[in-house]
Amino acid sequence: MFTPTTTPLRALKGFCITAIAGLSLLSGCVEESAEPNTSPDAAVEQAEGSFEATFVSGHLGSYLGCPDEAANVPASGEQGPPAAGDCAPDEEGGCGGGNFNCSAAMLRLEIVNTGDVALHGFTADPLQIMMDPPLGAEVLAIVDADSGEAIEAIAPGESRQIRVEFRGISPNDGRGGAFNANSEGYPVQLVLDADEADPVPLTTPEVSPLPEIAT
Amino acid sequence: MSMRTRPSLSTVLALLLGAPLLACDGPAAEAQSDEAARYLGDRGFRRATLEAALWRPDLPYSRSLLSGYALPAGGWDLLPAMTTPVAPFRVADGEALARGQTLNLDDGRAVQASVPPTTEAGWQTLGAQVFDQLPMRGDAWLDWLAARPERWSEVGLTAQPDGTVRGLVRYAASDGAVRVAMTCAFCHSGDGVSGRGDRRRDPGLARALAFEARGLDGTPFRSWGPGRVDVTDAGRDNPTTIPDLFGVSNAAYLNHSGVIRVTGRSTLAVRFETQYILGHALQRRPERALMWALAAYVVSLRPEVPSGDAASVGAELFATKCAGCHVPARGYAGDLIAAEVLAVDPRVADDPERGTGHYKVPSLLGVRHAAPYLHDGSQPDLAAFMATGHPSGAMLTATERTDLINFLETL
Repeated sequence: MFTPTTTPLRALKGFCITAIAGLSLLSGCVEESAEPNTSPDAAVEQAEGSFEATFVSGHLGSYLGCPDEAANVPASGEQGPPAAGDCAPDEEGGCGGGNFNCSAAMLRLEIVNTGDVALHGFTADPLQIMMDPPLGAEVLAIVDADSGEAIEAIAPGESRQIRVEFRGISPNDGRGGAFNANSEGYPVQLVLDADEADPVPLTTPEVSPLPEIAT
Repeated sequence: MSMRTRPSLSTVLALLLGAPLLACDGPAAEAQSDEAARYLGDRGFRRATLEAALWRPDLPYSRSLLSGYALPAGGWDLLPAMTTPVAPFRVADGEALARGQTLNLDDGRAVQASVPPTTEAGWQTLGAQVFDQLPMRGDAWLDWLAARPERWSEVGLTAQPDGTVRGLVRYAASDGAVRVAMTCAFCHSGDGVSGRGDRRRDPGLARALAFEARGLDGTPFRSWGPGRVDVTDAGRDNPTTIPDLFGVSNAAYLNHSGVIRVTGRSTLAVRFETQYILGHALQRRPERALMWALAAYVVSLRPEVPSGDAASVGAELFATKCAGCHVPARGYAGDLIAAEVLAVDPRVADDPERGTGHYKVPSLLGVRHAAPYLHDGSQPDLAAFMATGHPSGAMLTATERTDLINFLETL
């Protein structure tokens, strides 16, 4: 049985911050950490922000009404799919977007700020759908899972559910062929990051396309 | 003398819900009470129930549930509970939408178990509310249809004498907008009878109309026909009849292909819970007490039994020719039959998403109202079905088939 995992990663950013504190070197890291009046000690403290991420739910989207907007078809250059849950009234007064006919893929994650500083600027990059071979997918938005609003900050000790929206898989590859006709699910890998914390890689359990008929 | 080796789980549930659970007697009631307590309060039990139900865990359908439901940590258990107020959808609401107005929920109230039932009858009463009022899912095509009352008759949508449309409710979607959602009753209240599959309602045509109005291809949905739905998202067209919910209390399997094995009422509760979660795009979960109530209600559903002679000749025939598969003690339902044994379209049994290679032996309760027959609705009536579509019926004489049908119509 698959168990969702979170593993703190002292990856590139942590390495860079530590290196700056000690050596004031590595020009590729200066832009990220060179804040005004920031002492080396402060930079080390900044890196002490931390969080845990837990998988709650997710799906690979629904692209029945917008097959060209999925990750597995060439970019059309048009506007992406509506955010998960959106439903913009169309010119006929109906629902042009809709929950199920055209919905971005999403992961709902629970974030717990386990550090001492507020966390800002969440990103989820890279994000890959773990098919064979893995399919890189564009992240469209990271928002508060319930309000759909942008995330200002997550305070120390606070637990918040966020929604990572991304381009999912269309069963139709946009060129008349079936791409994932059996509605197969796949795990999704992503690296969550915040301005004040080390990146956290996350591998979700298998997530599936959003069913057209929930029965 | 039997002795309890552990406290009754009824007590656990009473603590969980802050009220005594079941003020009823007898071992069956106590067992049901214990099962309720475990479903409501024991994540491991719910997980085990799901795993026991999905006997083909390799199928995409099974994997999609196993990957999120009742995980040891995280997963769908962390979803916020649905607390939206709901209100009936009325003809007047459709007319307002047609005029470009928006819906409101001024008269709405949440379906919830604020006072947990203490009796089986109480659970069933609450379950009836869930069946009729709890939003199973919203949908773009439903929004489109709701705003076009002039198309309702085309797809078998009718108003009740009080001006409401059974099976539709107003609710607050996750973005706060008031929209239209379907409930269990949308598909399972044919002829106004709770539990009867609606053979006139045509959700496929409704979807097709909505899609085509937006310049999208509605062809895949037009082939469904009234009373049928393609429940899979696999890349094949295999609509199945909307089933009756009679005899579920005795059912061994759910779904035409039997992809869900029933081990108890908790199987139904888990099944319903996951349906609502998927129906709400994996953003909300229903309160579990409501799902237990819905399960209690569904197992209580019975068809109207006609009065008159029990057709003894046909009953004897049934006992000797049919009861091996359609077991009377199990609501005239049975186990699974390999698709190749039946001379029927195998597409549903072979469906890559949830096909098991088998078909479920369905309950015959209320079968007189269940036409058209077979999983795909390909047999228009019992006489035709028995003559050509059923492997055992075809071996009977015409007189025997008539006697047998007379008996079946008493169930």
